[in-house]
Amino acid sequence: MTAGLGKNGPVLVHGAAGPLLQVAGLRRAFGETIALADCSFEVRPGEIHALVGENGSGKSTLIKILSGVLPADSGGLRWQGAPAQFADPRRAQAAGIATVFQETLVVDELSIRDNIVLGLDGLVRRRAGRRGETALARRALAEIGLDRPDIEAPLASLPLAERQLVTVARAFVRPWRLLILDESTSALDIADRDRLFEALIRYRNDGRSVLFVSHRMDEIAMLADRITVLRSGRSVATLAAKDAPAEKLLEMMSTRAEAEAAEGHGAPPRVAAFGKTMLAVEGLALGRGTRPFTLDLAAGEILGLAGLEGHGQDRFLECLAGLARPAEGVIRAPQGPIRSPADAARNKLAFVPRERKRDGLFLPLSVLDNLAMAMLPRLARGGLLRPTGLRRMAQAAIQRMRIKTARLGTPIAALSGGNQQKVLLGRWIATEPRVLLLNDPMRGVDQGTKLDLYEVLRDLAAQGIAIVFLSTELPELCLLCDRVAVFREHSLAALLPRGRLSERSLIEAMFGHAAPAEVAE
Amino acid sequence: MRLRSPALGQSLTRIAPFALVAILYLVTALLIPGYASPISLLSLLLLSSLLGIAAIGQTLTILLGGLDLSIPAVIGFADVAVSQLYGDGWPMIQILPLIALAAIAIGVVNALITKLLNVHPLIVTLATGSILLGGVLAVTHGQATGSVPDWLTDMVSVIGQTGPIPLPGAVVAWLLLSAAVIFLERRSVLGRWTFAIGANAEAARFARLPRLAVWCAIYAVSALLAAFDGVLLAGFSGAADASVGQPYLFTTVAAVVIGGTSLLGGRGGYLWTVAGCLIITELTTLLVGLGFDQPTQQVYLGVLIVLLVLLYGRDAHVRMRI
Repeated sequence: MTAGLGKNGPVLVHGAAGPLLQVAGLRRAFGETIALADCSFEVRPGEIHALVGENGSGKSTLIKILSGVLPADSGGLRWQGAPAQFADPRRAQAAGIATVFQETLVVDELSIRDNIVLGLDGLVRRRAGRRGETALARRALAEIGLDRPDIEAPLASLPLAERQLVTVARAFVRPWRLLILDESTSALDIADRDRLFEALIRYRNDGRSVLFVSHRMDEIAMLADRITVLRSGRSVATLAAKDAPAEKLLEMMSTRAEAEAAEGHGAPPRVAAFGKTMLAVEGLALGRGTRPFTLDLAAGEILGLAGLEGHGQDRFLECLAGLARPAEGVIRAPQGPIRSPADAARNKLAFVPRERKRDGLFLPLSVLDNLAMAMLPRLARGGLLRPTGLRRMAQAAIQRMRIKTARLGTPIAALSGGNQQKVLLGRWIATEPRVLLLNDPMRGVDQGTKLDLYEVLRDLAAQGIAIVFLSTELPELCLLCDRVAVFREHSLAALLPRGRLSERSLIEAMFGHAAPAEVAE
Repeated sequence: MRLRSPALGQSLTRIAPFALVAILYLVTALLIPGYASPISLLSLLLLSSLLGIAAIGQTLTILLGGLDLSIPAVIGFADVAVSQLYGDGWPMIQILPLIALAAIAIGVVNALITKLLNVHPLIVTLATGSILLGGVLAVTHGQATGSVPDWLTDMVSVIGQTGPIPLPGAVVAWLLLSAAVIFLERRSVLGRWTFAIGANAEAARFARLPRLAVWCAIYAVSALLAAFDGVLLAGFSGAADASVGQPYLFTTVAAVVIGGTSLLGGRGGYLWTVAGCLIITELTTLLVGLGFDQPTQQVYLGVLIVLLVLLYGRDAHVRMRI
């Protein structure tokens, strides 16, 4: 099964062979936007190579070129020493490159097994037979420690984190030499992520290579042997992990002076000057038989929501937005209780969903359309849009959110992920909400964008807007929130005030003060 | 490595339909003597108008993420209703609002069934169309008769005039409607909502757009314009005929696709459907001019339209960006 260079350990494998993949002077433009200007680096056999850079630095484009999804405009690839170009994804796969893309690309209607073996078969013929496929899928799931006995269950029944793991398992069943992971851990909780990392390290020790994109410095420190930094479509440097502490990487990725503050060092203490109660949650039970809880949200407050994947924090946020109904209890707001999206609208609640491409963006439409879409009637007279009002609104949003775009008419699809996220948030902030409900808004967003958005959120809170901020990143919750509500087993497990916020205290609350191994289930 | 510029590709897709309109015109003018005469040009415009007015609704419903296959039935219904009632001595001032109301009701029913019962518009609109046409035939016992006022006949006559304008009324109506639709697509709240809902229905739900109201409005507009087209066609043929709309089932969808509007919704616009209508009318005229009989014309028209879509109607992979 292993095509590697033996089991003599990473040290020997490292120095011995020539590079597995060489990238030289790769360039790719989309119209006027240059996504990749000049990118060169190499991946050696038996190494975990991290790729870091802000959103818009060209990482996703680079990965699409390596995977045969996009052609490059110029520059070249060498695969195992020989010149190569991958005209389509099948050819890249045949060469031994398996890619897990940033988006969770799954077919909801198919079973877990069929999603894992997707693309292995011909149109009619099954390569491995049903039993063989089941065995393949089970082995891949076991590798990453996802224990699903119901391998026939439709994928739609899985929570987001497990759906993401299924896309990883899909890559594992292929005969790969190089595994590319593009932000593939963003939805995973810590236990799942650690199991995946253990599998990656096992493969690395067998002589296979991993190219790994992440915005989390702790993951990179944990995993990477070498790190290539991209900035504005150029490869800035490739460093050995030991020469690359987080501060140095952040500095290289970013021209910003604030980069050093990124991981939460020196977060400004929040001055608590909250206004009146905006939302009063009374005796709320998320499901039948779950423990009810009570919680208030004040104007000017940033309330964090945390919890292991699937412990009810998403559901709670949806209840606040009127998109889901709790089993018991009531959510009071100044303009009447919240039971439907219309109630939420009347109370000026804005909800930004988690999956920005699926639930947020209008991809064929322009930046202008995407910014204005939630408030068109306010920008119109007699049903006709007023062009000056529209432009003024959009330009104000672009300035406030620091969106990088060529023109207002640019299709939103041409923007980087971070800028797309800024547009989506800008759409709702422009509606002048009283309460802003955010579902993991920093997911898959680069450090620069994060810093911009933290600032925007703090400004909004200072103006008296109440913010509910669900996040899977603990440092971010500690950095930004006045209080964090930690969910466990579909109920409120702890409400930590700013003075008690730390990654440690959050993790303890998420795991119910027990040892992680016991509760991971 | 391969060189490709999506921006260039996109602007080509946008211009291509209009270039094709010109090329087809020149080719036909070379092949068929007398084709370049003013009267031929007028008849080309007139036939395009009749197709174009019906294709407005098709374009808008496709942009919204649906489609409207009840258009031919509504055309047939309006054609029979106007001839029959006018023949029975009703004044047009009463007939037209009545037909308009009926059409709006059909459109709203299409939208309500589709959205509230969550049935695909393909089957919903085919079904309402079938019910409507069946009803017309049942009421008239398949023997609709009647007549139309002279001014209606003039509106769809090649030598017709519209006040001082030397164009038949149907052509003028098409030009005005086209300008209005293209303007409203871009500048009205309803227009932008239509594109947004067609582009991503889930995101439209989270953005709290009034999706049901937009569906009702767009399907009502589609049925209303189909009914208007049916009234014009009654003037064109001078006799009641419930099946007069049948060719428009294929041609309205084909005009939208040839123009380049995506069947997935949210991309394209009526401006390009205008080109699609001209192309289809030119092709038909070319086949007639070459002396093919009706069945052969249909075969070639089908073949040519598939070839056209193959040539340039494919969607650039916008979603693959960055």
